[in-house]
Amino acid sequence: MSFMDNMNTTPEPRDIWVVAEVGTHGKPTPLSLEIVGGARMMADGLGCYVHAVVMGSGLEAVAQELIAAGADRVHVADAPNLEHPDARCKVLSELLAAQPPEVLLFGATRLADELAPRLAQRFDTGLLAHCIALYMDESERVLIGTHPVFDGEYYEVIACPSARPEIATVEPNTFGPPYLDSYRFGETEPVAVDLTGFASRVSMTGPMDYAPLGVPLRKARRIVSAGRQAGDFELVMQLAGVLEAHVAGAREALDEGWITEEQVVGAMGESVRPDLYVAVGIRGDTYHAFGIRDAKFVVAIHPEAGVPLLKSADAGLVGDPPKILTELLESLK
Amino acid sequence: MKIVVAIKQVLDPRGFTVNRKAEKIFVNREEYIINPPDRCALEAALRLKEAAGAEVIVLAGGPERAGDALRQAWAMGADRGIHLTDKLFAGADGLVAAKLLATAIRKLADVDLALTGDRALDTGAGEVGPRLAEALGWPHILAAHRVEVSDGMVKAIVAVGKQFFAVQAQRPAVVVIASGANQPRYGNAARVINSYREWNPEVWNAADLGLAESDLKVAVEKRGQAFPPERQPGTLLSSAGELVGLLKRQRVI
Repeated sequence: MSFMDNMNTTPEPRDIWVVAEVGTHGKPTPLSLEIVGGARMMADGLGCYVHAVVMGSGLEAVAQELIAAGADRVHVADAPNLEHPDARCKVLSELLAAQPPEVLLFGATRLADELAPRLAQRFDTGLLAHCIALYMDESERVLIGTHPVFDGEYYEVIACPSARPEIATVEPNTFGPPYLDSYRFGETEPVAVDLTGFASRVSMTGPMDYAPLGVPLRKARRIVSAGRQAGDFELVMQLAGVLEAHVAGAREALDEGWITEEQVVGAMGESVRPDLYVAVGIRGDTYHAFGIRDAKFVVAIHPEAGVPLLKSADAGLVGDPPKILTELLESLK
Repeated sequence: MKIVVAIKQVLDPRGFTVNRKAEKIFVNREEYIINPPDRCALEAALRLKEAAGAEVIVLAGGPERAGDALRQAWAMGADRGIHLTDKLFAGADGLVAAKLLATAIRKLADVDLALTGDRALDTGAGEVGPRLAEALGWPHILAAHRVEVSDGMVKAIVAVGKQFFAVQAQRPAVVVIASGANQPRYGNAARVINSYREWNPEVWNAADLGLAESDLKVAVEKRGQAFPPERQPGTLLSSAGELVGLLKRQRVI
């Protein structure tokens, strides 16, 4: 086979590519840097290069930080009209078609939700979505991802053994903070953006005012809940406002007249599963404990040290609730 | 106007418990439900039907039991139900599911709108909507809260972070409905019972869709399960500032 024959065949998929995003402050997002750092570790194991792609406008200073985090080559697509996901999809797919990657990583963001499945379908390959753990099995040379199913009840381990590229979207804290080496050497390559004749079929205007349907208590992501020892319910409401949380309470709070029947958390009320549950002045009897058994992070604030909820909570504070709430509101500002 | 809603049947999460310590899933009742986000998509389609008049066609893949999901959808008000089932479809991932749905939609012809839920409970991935759009060559809209149709266009209000934007796309298009965008209705109980007596979903297999085994190669394979760590006993803190620091480190606020 001569050299010229080789020129015409499609190139072999190789290297790890990361689609990096730029935050509002004009720097790569922490998640993008983290993924570049993770990609660097995988690439060192495999013996290949890490490419990063950034798309947007005004990106002069972005490349250096991505190189410091571990990118060997940063492809910068700098054009004024690259905000729209459709335009980015077009630029990215052309770039990747010319230099097919072995692995393509995204941060699990809105942009990835738009682009990653589309590109996966276009390249006839699989997608490991929303991974919370991701590693390269070097014996098989296959990317193994772990992602939560049934709203995080358990995790499923998945892989895409034959199709290339292996595409994954990665949640924050998967790889941990990257090692930033500002003396690392890397190349920056501008990407020619040709969007003449390209008109997106989707247009977006806004932001606009829209009141979505209220989220019911059992689906709330954050809940501030009051019990008999809460002291000042007004402060509880304020904390909920600052945290953008739902207000709820134990059965005693209903007796106090602070909340309605629908806001009672416990075995005889709602079972909730928020990411954050702040219990203010709640003892935490069995009934209440049943209602919050699926809460991810429980904070208990109570004046007495021996109450059951302080023992089972993820974080506890002993003291006068109104005083602690005032301090909390102060430090959250 | 023809609106297609793609639904998936998933295991009812109320029927099993996960023991993190034993790293096992205990299935108490093996019952299947319509994937809850897909119910929101169906509700959005039924509201469009009421507002503008449309034929709502529900597509579901899966073994024989997926017929129950179609019957529930029919009881909610769908006009047609099509059950995509074949031995070759077993174990379909997002790639194959999108191909199947796209082939079925092409076969239906003149479809104006395809609606999907924003994720499947049993895979956690919201990939089928954009994948379907790509397979059909249509535009897509993600996380739509309210959908309207006007001549040749579909308009939606979508959530991006905490903000809302007005989006419009040319039809035909795929619209992914945000879960919680609406309150799905319940199927009329008599209609649910009647659905077993007097109605049957159409059944399409690989031959009907003109698909061969080589078209249905699965890309993603399952390699097992993992479990979240057991809950650790918490720590007692001394000040509110410390609590805020901890919450930020844990990324709960």
